Amino acid sequence: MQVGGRTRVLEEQDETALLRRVGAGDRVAFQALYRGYFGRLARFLDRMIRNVALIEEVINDTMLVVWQKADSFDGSCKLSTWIFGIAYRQALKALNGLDEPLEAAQDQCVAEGDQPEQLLQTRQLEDGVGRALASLPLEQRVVVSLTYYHGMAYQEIADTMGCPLNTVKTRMFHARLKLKDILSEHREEMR
Amino acid sequence: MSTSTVLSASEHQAMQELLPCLLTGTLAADVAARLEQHVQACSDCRAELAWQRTVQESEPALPAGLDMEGALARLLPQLEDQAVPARLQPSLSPAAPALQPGARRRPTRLQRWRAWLAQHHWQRWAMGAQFAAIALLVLQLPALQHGAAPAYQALGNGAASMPDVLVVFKADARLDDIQQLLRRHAAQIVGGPTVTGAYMLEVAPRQQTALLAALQADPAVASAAALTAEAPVEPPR
Repeated sequence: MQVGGRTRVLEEQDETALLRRVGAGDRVAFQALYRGYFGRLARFLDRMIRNVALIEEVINDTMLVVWQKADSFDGSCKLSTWIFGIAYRQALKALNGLDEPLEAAQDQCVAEGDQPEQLLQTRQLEDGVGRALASLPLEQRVVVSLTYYHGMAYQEIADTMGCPLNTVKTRMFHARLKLKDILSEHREEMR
Repeated sequence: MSTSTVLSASEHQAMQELLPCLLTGTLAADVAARLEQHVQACSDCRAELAWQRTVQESEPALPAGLDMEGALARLLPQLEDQAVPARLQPSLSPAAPALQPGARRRPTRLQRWRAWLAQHHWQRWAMGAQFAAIALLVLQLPALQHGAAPAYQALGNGAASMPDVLVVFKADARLDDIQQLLRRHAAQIVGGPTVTGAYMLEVAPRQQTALLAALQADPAVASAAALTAEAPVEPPR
């Protein structure tokens, strides 16, 4: 199944309306919310957990909490911030519960001869960014991911991670320096 | 609002820290306008913004193998168990403090099984299955000694609380085939998948051996193992 292709990003108003129905026990609304968030949560969790089975497990744990606690969402933050906050804590819990650290997923083999040069370059750059992100400490990785790939403001990230705003800024600052250093070998592609 | 393009080092630093927010459009309009004005005049910030845009546009691809519909299908049965108590609680105790997001109620036995599975390896499963088989044999011993089945079968409780079969399907297994296989042997999935991809099955009485043989012979199955001894056939009275 193509996660990205089938997942429609819901508008915030749609989401809130869905959550109200979920709070009333509407399973159809829950499924719509689940499908709306699966791809986003998977992209986010992939930065924390490089294991497909565990990503699905954490998404399900997250959405189960959403089902149970839909009534308690008070609108004091965006719904996405609330859900990502739950996912972040569930992922930390899953990582803490592992006997041994997860191996980073093997990069998929790319048949270089089959790809046009530009596509290959894009793929190499994505791989480079992926490796660079993977080398960051977890908290910095999460901040970078939520900023660049989920468009969250620093305050939303602070709410999601349960830390002060300045901590988010500091993490982003150090992450950018490290990324720049690590990605220096891709300087040509990044121009 | 006028903006000086000549900034102190600390102001320039502050501007640079805001560049990611400019990129993602999460700044207030007035701050964004001031920053854009600065970027126009500052080659360092222009280069930095371009670099960050490239990082943003180069989000690594998702790993292969994610199955949204499969994951949702596994979650939906759990909603049934969770719905009633979670929704009754607020009306029963309105003064109770709101549960924090992510807080869990006491996990069910099945959830505890799943958590245990997620943290343990196949070898421990094998040990568990052996232990269960030994326990069943020990409990059957008095009945065998007296030559008749006891009126009260304590084994029933044990069998109900433990899945009968543990199975791992191959990655390319088709949902239709699995459903047909399970229907044919009156079996149902009661848990899983674990981190290792195993599912727990419960099977109708006296179907376990047939199911196990069918699973082991099925090309869609990577491995299958019994977790309990099959319930004995009741002697005719």
